[in-house]
Amino acid sequence: MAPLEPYEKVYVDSDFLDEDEDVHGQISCEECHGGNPDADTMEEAHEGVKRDPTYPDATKSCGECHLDEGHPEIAEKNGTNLHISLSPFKKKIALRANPDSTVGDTIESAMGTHCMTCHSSCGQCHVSRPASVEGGLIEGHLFQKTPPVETNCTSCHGSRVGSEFHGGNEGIPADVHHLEGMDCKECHTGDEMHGSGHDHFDRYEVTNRAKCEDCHKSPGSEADEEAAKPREHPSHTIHQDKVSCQVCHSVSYKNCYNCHVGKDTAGMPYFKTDPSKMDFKIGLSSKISEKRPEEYVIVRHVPVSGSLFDFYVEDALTNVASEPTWKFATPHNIQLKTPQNESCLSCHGNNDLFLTEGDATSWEIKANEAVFVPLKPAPHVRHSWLEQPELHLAKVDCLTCHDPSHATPVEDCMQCHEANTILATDPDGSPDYSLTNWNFTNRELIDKDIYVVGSNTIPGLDLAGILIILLTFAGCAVHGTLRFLCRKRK
Amino acid sequence: MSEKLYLHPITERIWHWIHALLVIVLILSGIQIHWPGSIAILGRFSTAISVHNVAGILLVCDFLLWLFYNLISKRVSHYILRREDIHPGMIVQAKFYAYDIFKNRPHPYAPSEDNKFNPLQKATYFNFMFFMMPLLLVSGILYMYPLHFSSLIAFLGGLKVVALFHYVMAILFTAFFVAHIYLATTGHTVFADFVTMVTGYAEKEEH
Repeated sequence: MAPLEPYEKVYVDSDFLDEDEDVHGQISCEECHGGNPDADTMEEAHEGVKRDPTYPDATKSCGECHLDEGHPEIAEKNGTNLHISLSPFKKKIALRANPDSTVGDTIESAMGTHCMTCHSSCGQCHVSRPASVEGGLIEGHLFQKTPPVETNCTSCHGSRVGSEFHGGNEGIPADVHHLEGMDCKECHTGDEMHGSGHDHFDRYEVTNRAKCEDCHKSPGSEADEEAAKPREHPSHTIHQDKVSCQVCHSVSYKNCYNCHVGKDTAGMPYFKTDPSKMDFKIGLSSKISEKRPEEYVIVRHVPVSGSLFDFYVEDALTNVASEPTWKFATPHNIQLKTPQNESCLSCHGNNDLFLTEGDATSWEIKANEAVFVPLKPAPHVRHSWLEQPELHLAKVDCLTCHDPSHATPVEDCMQCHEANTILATDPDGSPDYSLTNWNFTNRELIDKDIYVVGSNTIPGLDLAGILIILLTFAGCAVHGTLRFLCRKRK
Repeated sequence: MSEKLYLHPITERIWHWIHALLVIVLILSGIQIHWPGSIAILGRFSTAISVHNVAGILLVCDFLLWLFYNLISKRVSHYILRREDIHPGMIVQAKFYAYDIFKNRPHPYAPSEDNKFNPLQKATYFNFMFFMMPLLLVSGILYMYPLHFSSLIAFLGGLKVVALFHYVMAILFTAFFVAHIYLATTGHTVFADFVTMVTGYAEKEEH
């Protein structure tokens, strides 16, 4: 995001006063910002002026009108708007914090200096850039019904979500939704942004949050039947409610480690983190609920460490390991095809994709016990009941046996290894090729480069083989009979 | 009392019967594997595969032991055709099976301790044991470990080619097995050669 010149930050466009351009221009400045327009000096006139009259309480500014007109409850519920309250920060730090109340007060003070400055407000979305990115009016004070993405969404959510969505991470493509011309508001509606009236623990508990199923139809989803994007791949049926969408459809994303906050010699607050790392890890969900039933989800490392507040007080986060450091995440770099959805075995048996103890530093092991994925035996071991498990895994499409339309996978060799093999049926299950004909090769299977013992018998060759053996028997029988008849009688 | 010839030392007899047992097991399990929907001699398909694999590995070992034994002991000479075996030996022996045997005439090439096989036996055993058996076993090994030998299998034309070759070899060996058992009844009595293959001794035939 390009920085603004000083004048640009405060320049009020004359269009703002045009009623047709912005009705807010008909409200006098002091009604929102305070101050005294009748004063004789600038100092007197600006006394009590609020730079952002909408923070922290917008009921006396926006709420004066929007309580009744058009957007009832927006201002009233503003206190539960996570962009404004940042209440999840406090709650999550509290879980890791030293229970000593004196230490708690110091942490709260430090958070006020650092973490809690990253809030937004009605004005910091609809009129200006957020103060945390040095503010500045967006369009000469013209109110923006929908905040611009670059100046107001990714100005805060830029390093992770913004880079993911726009393809800013080297070698990682942009989110397909971005490439299709969609931006934040297409999924994250005003309703989601404006607070629900409930003080949620974190953003993933917001009930009207954006969900893939809002557009991509799935059983039980509320997506419009006609507008819904089809999800024809059988993998969806198999993984429904077990695996989050991002597990298959997102790619490497940024992980941050070890945040430290402090102040420099001039008293300016700062924070430092270790270098971020692009990684992709599937973990167990700690948020399983009726609305979010998936067991396997993407997890992102959050920038926390036990020494986060050491500048202010030592032992601030004595319970830092009481909560996972890899957290449920929804990377915004969705792709139709990803390395992990190339084939079943790209994920199943690919232990590198799963979060395990080996990914954690020593103190994090206890913290992430519930998130680590217990590794299962390699696919060829799990399929050791098969003869030639590696060959089966290499040559047979997993869905041939793990047919989602069947309650249990095929575990009977004979379903493939006989003339009436299921391999010779089309996807609808209807045989389109008869193995009882006299063709020299089993075309359908051979075309797929499959040789299946028992189902690839060649009738003509079988007949020849049987004839050779029968003729041998017959020759021996005739020869023996003649010998018997010609035997020397004693 | 007729003179006894010691044709088959104990090593050869043990080898022979192990070999025979393995061949029978391989033929039966192979039939079930080839026609799994129709024949269930050994129960489950997977059982037939396992039995076939184990018997196949044992046959490879059994064959290699036989090969080294014959090469080191120089008893391989029993399998080598001599000039006179080719002509007139093979024709004489063929004529015996086709005609003389019905006239109750004696074997033209009665076994001796230095030369225990007749010319047609030599030709047949040599081809089956030194040429076709290695091909059968190699095709079976490729078939058993297709991923380890994927490059070689691809060079040969794919697994289906290996499978077809193995199958054709199996048919020929099965036919040989049938003929071998029948021809074993053509000794001086029907069971004489079977007894010899157990005791090692044969009665010296009078010419």
